Amino acid sequence: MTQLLFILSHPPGSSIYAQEAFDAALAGSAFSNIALLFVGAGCLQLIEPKLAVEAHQRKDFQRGFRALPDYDVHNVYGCEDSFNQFRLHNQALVIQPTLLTQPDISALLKSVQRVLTF
Amino acid sequence: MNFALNIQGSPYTSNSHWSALNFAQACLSEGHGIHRVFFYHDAVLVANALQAPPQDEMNLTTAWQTLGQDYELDLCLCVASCLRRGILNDSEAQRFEKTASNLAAGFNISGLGQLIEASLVSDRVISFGA
Repeated sequence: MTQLLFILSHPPGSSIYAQEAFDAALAGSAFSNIALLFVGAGCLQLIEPKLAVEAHQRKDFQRGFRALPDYDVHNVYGCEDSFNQFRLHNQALVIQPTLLTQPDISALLKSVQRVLTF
Repeated sequence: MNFALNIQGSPYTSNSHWSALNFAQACLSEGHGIHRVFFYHDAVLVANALQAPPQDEMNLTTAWQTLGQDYELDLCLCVASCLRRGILNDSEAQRFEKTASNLAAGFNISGLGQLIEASLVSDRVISFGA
C-alpha cells in the first residue's frame, strides 16, 4: 500500500525546485512505500534533458528517474491531460510513467495515506 | 488533529510563509497540534538571522520564533536546502570553514528524514508551495 504520494509540479531548469523535490522523494523511499505523480509543467521533467544539461551546465538529476526501481519505487504516474497539453506523447522521455486520467488521479489521491505536493 | 507543515516558498517573495503562519495560528488556537514545521526549498531563508526588514512591515523570522516559543513547535530546516542558500549554524560554518554562522534562534537544521517522519506520524500534511 502506498503511504506517501509525491506530486511533482515544477518544470526542470527554471529553478532548483524540481531537483530538490526529487531529493525529498528519494528520502521518502528510504522510509516508506512511495509513488510519484508528475502533473502540469512537472511533466517536462520527464523529457530527456541531455541538451539542456549541456547548455546550462546543470546537474542531470533526471538520470535518477531511471534508478527508481533500485529504490523500490515502482509506481510512477503522469497526468494524461498534461501530457496532451505539452505534447509529450512523441518526445524522447527519460522514463515512461503510467498515464492517468482525472478520475484515475482522484482515485489515486483517495487511496494513498499522505500526499506531499512540490 | 495533528498536523505536519511543509513550507517551500521564499519568505518575502511568495505568500507561502504568510499562509502557513495564518494556518498554524488558526490550527493551534483551535486546539489542534503541529507535530513539526518543516522548511524546504527557499523557505529556509526565513531562518537567516541577518535579515532586517523595515520596522513597519511583518518580520516573518520573529513571527515564527514567537509562535514556536508559545507552542513549543519544532521549527526544522532541511540541511541541504540551507547549505545551498547560505544558512549555517555554528557547526556547519566550522565544517565548511566559513567566517560566520547566521542561523536564527529557535530554528534547527536537520535532514529530509524529519519531513518524511512528520508526514507519516501526523494525521495531515499540509504543503505551502513555492
